Amino acid sequence: MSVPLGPQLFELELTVEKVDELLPHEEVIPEHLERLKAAFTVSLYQRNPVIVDFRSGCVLDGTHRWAAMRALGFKWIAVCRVDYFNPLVELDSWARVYRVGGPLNIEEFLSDVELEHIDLEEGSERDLLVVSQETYRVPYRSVWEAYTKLKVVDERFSNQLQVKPLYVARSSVGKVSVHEVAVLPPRLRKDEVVELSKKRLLLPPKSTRHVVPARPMGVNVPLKLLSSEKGGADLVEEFLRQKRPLLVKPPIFLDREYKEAILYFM
Amino acid sequence: MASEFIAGFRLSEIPGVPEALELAISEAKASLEAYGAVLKSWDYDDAQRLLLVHIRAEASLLERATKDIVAALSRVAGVDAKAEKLSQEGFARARTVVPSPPVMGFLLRLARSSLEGFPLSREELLALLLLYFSGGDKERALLTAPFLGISAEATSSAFEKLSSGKYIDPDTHTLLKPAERLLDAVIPVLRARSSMARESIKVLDEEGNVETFSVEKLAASLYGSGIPHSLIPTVLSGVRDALQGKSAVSKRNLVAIVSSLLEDLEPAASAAAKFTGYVYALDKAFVSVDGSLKKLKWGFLRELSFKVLSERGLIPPHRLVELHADFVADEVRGIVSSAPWKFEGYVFELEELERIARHAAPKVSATWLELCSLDAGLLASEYMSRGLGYAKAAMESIDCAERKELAVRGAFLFSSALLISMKVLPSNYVGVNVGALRGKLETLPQNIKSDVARFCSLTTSIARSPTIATPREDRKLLGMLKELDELMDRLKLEHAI
Repeated sequence: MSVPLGPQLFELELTVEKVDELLPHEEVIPEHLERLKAAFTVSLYQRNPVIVDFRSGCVLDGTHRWAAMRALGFKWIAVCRVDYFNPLVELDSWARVYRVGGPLNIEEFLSDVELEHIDLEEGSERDLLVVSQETYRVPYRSVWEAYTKLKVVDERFSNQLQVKPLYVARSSVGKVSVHEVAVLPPRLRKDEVVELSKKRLLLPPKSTRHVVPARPMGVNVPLKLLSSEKGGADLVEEFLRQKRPLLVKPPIFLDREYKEAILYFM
Repeated sequence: MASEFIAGFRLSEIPGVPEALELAISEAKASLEAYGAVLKSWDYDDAQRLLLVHIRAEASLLERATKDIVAALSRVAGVDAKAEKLSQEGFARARTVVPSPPVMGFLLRLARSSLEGFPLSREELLALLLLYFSGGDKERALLTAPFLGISAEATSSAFEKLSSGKYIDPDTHTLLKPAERLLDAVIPVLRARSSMARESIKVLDEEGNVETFSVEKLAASLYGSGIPHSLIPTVLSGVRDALQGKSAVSKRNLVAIVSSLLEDLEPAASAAAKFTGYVYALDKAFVSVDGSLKKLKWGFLRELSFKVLSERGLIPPHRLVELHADFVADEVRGIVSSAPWKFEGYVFELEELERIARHAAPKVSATWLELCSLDAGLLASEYMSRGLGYAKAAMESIDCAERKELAVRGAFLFSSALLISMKVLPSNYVGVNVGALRGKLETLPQNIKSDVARFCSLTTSIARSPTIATPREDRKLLGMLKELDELMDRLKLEHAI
């Protein structure tokens, strides 16, 4: 299906894939996974397709849905295939903003993490940065190492300060107040995401932030069609062909704010 | 102006019974219809407890619609619901992308044909038709293309060729004169090609009554007599062949043709005897009235229909009585023909026939059923508001088939309201209602008479207008709709006085 976005057409395909043939690139949050598994156990439908790269099968959005369905033994999953390398598909990273209640000595707090004190302006989007009233760069040799270090930093804040982060798009992080510490992961390239997923190296949860310019929702594929080994795919594809979308222009607030066009298959 | 919106509701809890949500939505749908808002579809996410409802209404009616939906959810499903703000405006604006089923079906048929012999290439002609039926909305047309099995890229490049050929405006994508002229010529050809030729053979029964042969009616009789469904298409095509070139056939000969075909196809199943028994079942039916037996005749059935349909205090029109009697006769035939064949007669008690007649009444007049619990005056004013709502929605629709459907639905409801105010029972059919209104014209005051007559004539013209309209036909339909809407507004005022 081609979705007209101004003068350009954005190609997406609503179809089914074998659950085992998809490649995640992020770990899941266990509580979130359990919540979704419980929801799938009582639900009759897969409401929203997961977004995958049509070349590599890398799951770009919907990792928790994919993991829940895999854990529950589904053979097939409804997907929306897109060309990940289309410039219209944006890749950003999620910055973490921790409310720490007052000034925090970062060098002491992260004493076992290698830190380089820098000026904020020196940092690039490929840097792993810890920003409070001062700015620190965490050096790394590979993106995998950078995200492993990010995980250590995340755990330190969660375990020692008992605070949960606020996730915001890295590109939208502005000034940090005296009560806050922002951790800015390096901005990944699309080929790095695909490579990591192919090597089965999973990034921490909420590492990448993908924005696809059009997103199908509410497809409500009956789960019974997704559980059978044989014949399921043909039936699901025929089922999807009869769905009729409603075009909703952004922004729309559902479970979160969507800044992309929504094709709602009500 | 009516637009499409999505309204969101967060439910306090998941309804205990899944069907409760469906019932609540159905009740909300009826409430919304009363003031011209249309609840088109809905979706529920039980993980988020988020109910999304697709509404077509004027923006000013959305608050009221939201309140009605919340009230229905509380009353029927027993859940508290809170309206969610889905966009800065509160309600998310949406657009129906794919055309209505009749238009979509027409396009699907064309997409599967070669479309040769036209001045444009197949791709260009399909793109032009797609753009026209999408109301000149390029975005909508491109999104619809894949549902027809056409690639959006091919459609997009066809648009460019149509622009350079001066068929469509390159900037606004509105159809230019040459395109309109082409569509005026092409659409009727494509319509005619896809429609089946109608037989006009007369059938003459034993009492000298004449009716036009109808494949549908024959199929219904075959179905009613219990003939295996798999045989019916073969029988119908055999009958068509046998009647080729004839202008008239007697009912007895028609039954004989069908019987012989059934004997050939299913000799062991007594299918022919079943069919004959079903068609002539009324000959074996008797009714017991005050201890004496009477043969069940059409006259008796019509009297019975008139009596039952009049039970709500409104007079049923003649055509409605005939239709109802047909339904009762079908029921009687079913009972008699399923009895063992050796019986030469089947006796009905009058009460049993009355029960059958009451059971059949809603099939011809839903109003008859609604009047069990609603006052006629209230029902008439509800029909009137809903009718006006549909007429306004029709004028704002960009889909020609949807426009016609909404207009006919509006005219039907409005005609029902007018008939109730004249103490006449409305039917489920717009044509019957219009016929009944025409029959009442002479009794109407002079100031209303001409408006009602014009309403009848416009309704008939709209109902008979082609669903897949050419640009010229569509302009004509829009003109009629505008006049119908004004007439209905005027008649509503006169009705109120």
